[in-house]
Amino acid sequence: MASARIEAIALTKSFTGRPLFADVSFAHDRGVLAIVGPNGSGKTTLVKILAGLLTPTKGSVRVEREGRELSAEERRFAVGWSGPDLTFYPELTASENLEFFRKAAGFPAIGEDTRSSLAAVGLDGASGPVDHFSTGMKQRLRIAFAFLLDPDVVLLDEPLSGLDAPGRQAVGRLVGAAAERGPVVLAAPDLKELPPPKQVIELPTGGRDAGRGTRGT
Amino acid sequence: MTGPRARLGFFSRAWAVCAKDAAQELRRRVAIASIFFFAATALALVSYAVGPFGLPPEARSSLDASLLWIILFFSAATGLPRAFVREEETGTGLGLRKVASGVVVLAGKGLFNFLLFLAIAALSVPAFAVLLEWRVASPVALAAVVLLGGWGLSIVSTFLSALVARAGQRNVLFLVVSFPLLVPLLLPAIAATIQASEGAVAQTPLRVLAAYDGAATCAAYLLAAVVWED
Repeated sequence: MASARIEAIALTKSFTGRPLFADVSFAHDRGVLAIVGPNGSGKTTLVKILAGLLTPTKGSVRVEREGRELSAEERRFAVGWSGPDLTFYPELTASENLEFFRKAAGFPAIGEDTRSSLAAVGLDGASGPVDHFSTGMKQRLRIAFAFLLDPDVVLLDEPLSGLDAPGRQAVGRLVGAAAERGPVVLAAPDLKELPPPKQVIELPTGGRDAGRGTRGT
Repeated sequence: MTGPRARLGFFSRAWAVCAKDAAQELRRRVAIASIFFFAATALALVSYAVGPFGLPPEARSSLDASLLWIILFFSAATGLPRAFVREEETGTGLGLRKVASGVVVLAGKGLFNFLLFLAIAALSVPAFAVLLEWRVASPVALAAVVLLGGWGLSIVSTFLSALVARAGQRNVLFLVVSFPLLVPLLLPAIAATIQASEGAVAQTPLRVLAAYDGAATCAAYLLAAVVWED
């Protein structure tokens, strides 16, 4: 089984001059790492930087598989991500959306794979365009997107947002299974229904001391 | 977890982006309908305005070629800039950016825009010829002009769409930035169309168009990552 590792090296991000967070560093190779902090502390921004969707003002992110650092292109597929601002093509169905993302990423869209991805989040019976989905169904689809390419590293920003009890249980199962195999990074205000974190990164507002709050559990 | 290895080639990925854009547009219908409605309206207005004058052919060729490209350009301009702008406006760009490189997305969207342009041209050029009694002595040369002009227009519009997609006032910005970049394409396209209608093979304008297309494609390829990534 391939071992994966994600490392944040002195990450700093500022949008308007004042750092949102500064010198955030950690390394994580298996189990859940939780990013916590009040609203506006930069949790979503930090997760996007880890996902390669934002560039840090300073610092870097390193993702390894079996001791080899992955290129930026490899990280597209090796790091799965979902967040609250991930939206889908409203005219397409859930399976069409996932099949498109698979093909755009370079993987054949196999119907059985797509069906199992949707079944894992309880969307196997969903038909019709995504535009007609409820908030909870869209959130389930976001989770399916994060796991779509069987990633080595999973990053989930507010994974339980808008979900009912069965949805939260489904996410808990997926996170638990992924955490057995490799690193899972969660940013959420409430982690009660998810597997307990092995490591916690606290982002205070202003973030200058972020990273010093790192603790193991 | 091992992570699946990429197996589809560059063109298959780009085609996936193109097919997705086509599926979206065909299901929404409004955007494509407005493009063709614009083309039909422009054709009707031009035929009513210019048709009755009955100018001699030597005076008409320049006017016809210019009018044809004005119709093609403005019809396409209502749809081509949407390629990337729609992704940012609806928020879908984030998911696409997560899985696909800028070159793949640009190629797919450029291909969709080129096919859209060809569809506009396939309907507009014959209608233009009928309504304005326009005689084309060399249809093959005209087809070459439409193909070369269409590709240049599509790839530059797609690239500019990516460039302005995350900017404020993006529609105004697109028009301002596109003017100096597209005029050097439209002038040889009009010159080549004049000569095609007169039966000559316009080698110099066609070479200029081919060179423009090559340069625009190379520039878009080299800069795709810059405009696509954060």
